[in-house]
Amino acid sequence: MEDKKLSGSTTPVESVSTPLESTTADKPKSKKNLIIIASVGVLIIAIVLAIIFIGIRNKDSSLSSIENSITTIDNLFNSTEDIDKDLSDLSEDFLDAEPVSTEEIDTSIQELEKELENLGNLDGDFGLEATDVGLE
Amino acid sequence: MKKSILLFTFIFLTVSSLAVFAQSGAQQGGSPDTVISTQQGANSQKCIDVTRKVDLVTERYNENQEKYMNAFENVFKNVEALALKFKADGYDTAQLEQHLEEYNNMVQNASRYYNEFKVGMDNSKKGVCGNSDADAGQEFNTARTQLMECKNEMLQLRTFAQETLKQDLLDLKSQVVE
Repeated sequence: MEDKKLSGSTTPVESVSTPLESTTADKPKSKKNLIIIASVGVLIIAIVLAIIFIGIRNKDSSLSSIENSITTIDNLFNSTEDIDKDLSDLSEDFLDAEPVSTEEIDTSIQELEKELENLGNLDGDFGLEATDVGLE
Repeated sequence: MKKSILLFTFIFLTVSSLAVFAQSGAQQGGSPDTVISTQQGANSQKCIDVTRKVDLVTERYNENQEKYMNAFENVFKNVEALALKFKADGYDTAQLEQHLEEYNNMVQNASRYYNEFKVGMDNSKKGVCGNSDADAGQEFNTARTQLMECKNEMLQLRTFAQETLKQDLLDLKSQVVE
């Protein structure tokens, strides 16, 4: 009888223990799910941030390339300010005018070279030693 | 006898005076052969002078023209590459592309004018040297006109780049910032 009672009493215990086991088994599962959801969330946030970061970088790079082109145009404007002078008109009597002579320039160069030769002794001519004035 | 002596003297004087007259005329005016050879000499000297001057001046203009054309072409390449990149990225570059086309046409015009200037200078050189039937003076004036056209086109290119292309780039920049 007692056995029966015991056995009878064990049965409800077992029946009670089943939902308890299931909740303890669900706990790690839900934890796992939570971790997975969190990971996916973090991943999505990371991807979004990466996209935003790349977008900002691309935008910066685009703006920088536009700025470079604007600088190139500004440089062109400055480097071409002498067009008027460099492509100036030829005189009407260009064909009849006296030819360009380099003889005068050559003569001037020769004269200049002579003067420079004369100046070669400059160091010696203006050197002053103590003996020159009888101090030693 | 007296008559014959007088006749002989008359003929002698006539012949002598004619000979002296002819010689003095030759000395003053020069014989046709001498005139031609002197003229040819002057022409060949002028040819040498003009050739030297034209070569010297053309070389100087060539250097300047090349320098400026390179600068204009570099800007075109730079902005064209930028326009293509932004077009591929989905930005509106229609206005910039249209202005780039205008800019490129102006560059081509400047180049064409300069080539015509060089042809004109070459023809005027040939005209002076007698290597062509071209009127040297007229060819030279054509060359001058072409040079001025080239210069004006370059000045317009300079303004166009600074005002129009730059504004297009600033508009593009606004599109990127938005």
